[in-house]
Amino acid sequence: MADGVMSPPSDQQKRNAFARPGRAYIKVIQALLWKDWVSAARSPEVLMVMSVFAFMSLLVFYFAFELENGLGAGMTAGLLWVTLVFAGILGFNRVMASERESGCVDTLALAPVDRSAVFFGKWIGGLVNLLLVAALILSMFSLFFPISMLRWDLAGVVILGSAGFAALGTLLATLTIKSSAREIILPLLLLPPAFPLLMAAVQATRNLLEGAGWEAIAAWVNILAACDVIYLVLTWMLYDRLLKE
Amino acid sequence: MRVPAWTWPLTWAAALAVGIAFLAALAYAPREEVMGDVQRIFYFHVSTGWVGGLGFMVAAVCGGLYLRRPSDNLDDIGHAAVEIGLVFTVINIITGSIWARPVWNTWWTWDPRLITASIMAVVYAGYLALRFSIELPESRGRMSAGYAILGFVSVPMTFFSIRLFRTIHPVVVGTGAAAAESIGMSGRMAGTLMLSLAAFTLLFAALLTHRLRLSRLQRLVEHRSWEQLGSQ
Repeated sequence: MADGVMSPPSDQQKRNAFARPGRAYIKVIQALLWKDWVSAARSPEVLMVMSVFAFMSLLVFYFAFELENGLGAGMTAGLLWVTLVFAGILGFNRVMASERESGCVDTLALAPVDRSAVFFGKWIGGLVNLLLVAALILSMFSLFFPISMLRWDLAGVVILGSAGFAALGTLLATLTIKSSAREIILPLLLLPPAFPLLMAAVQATRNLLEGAGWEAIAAWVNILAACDVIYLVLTWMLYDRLLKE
Repeated sequence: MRVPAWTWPLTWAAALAVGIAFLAALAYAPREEVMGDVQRIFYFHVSTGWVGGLGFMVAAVCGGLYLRRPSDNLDDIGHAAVEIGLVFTVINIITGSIWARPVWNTWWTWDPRLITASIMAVVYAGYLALRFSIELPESRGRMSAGYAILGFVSVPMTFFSIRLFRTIHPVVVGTGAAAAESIGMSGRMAGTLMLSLAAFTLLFAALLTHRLRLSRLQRLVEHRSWEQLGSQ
């Protein structure tokens, strides 16, 4: 699967890439996802840390807020996104860290491929990570508290929110790669621009859990979708210029 | 390093203009009917907010140009503009708070405009932290240029927050129902506001030239110390 990119391309492959540039673009994304998947499967500490963190946060919230009697829609929405955001930050910190430690950044920057494809590869990987943790959090909520969170409409909001958040996280993980304080500076850089997105996500989640009408939810979902589009376009445009040696 | 010839005239012009604007706000502008004299802080509150937005816009434009074609000069201008913009945004928030105490009966309220403005300030504080933490000048320039562009999203968000959401913050600039019902300025008030905006824009330009000169001196010192290290 990855050999088309990893080994020098044959003449036939070069001709194919030239004739069908879309195919080559998708191949770069596939190769990157494949590489990250293999390295994640061999040392699955990132997903494990994110999951354990999510579980521990729920436990802390339970004792801090005395939640035996269940919790209101506002509180649930807030807890869901707070946990997801912090678990996400833990994950984003590792998105580029492994690349940096193995010297893979330079290779990625030097590779004769479209760098926006690198962005999409990293973005999809980060998004999948985030969604796995989200699925875990939602199941734990449904299991531990008398509230059912495994719903399609809620999943839609979580996917929309995670998509924009993962785009910002991917860009900022790359942006802080040369920083001497990258682990602590990432949340500082990531959270303020993510604010409109998170606000819309929390409000949409709360309205959903309260069983509000579609009109009330649609306003927030629209903002969420608008944020996704803005962040994806912006990060996709900037990535090419930032990943450069 | 020589000071550019127009630095001092610009500085004196800015000082004079801000002085005149100060006097106009205190003496020329009429006393507001409902709020009384405390409303006079309005002229500086709006002007400092404008300088904040202007600084961040300059930084975003410089960031875009830098990513197309890196140069120390663009990096310095962007850095200077963010520093000045951040200082004025903080002054804007503080003057707003001082004004809010007698008029809204609280120093702070979780109003959309107040939230977006403080987020904008945090975004650019992050920009400065990012700069501090990257040592290599080329990477520092490139990464902070990228963040200046990304962070600029917070500026229109702040500007439009009072137009999109239900808020107690009045709308000053613009037409339409919201502007008409929230603030009605007499001719003298509008004149004072314009004067104050112009004065603070001059002040921004003056501060920018001074900060730019400081950046160049810093680069010179950095360069010299590298040279010394090399000759040893």
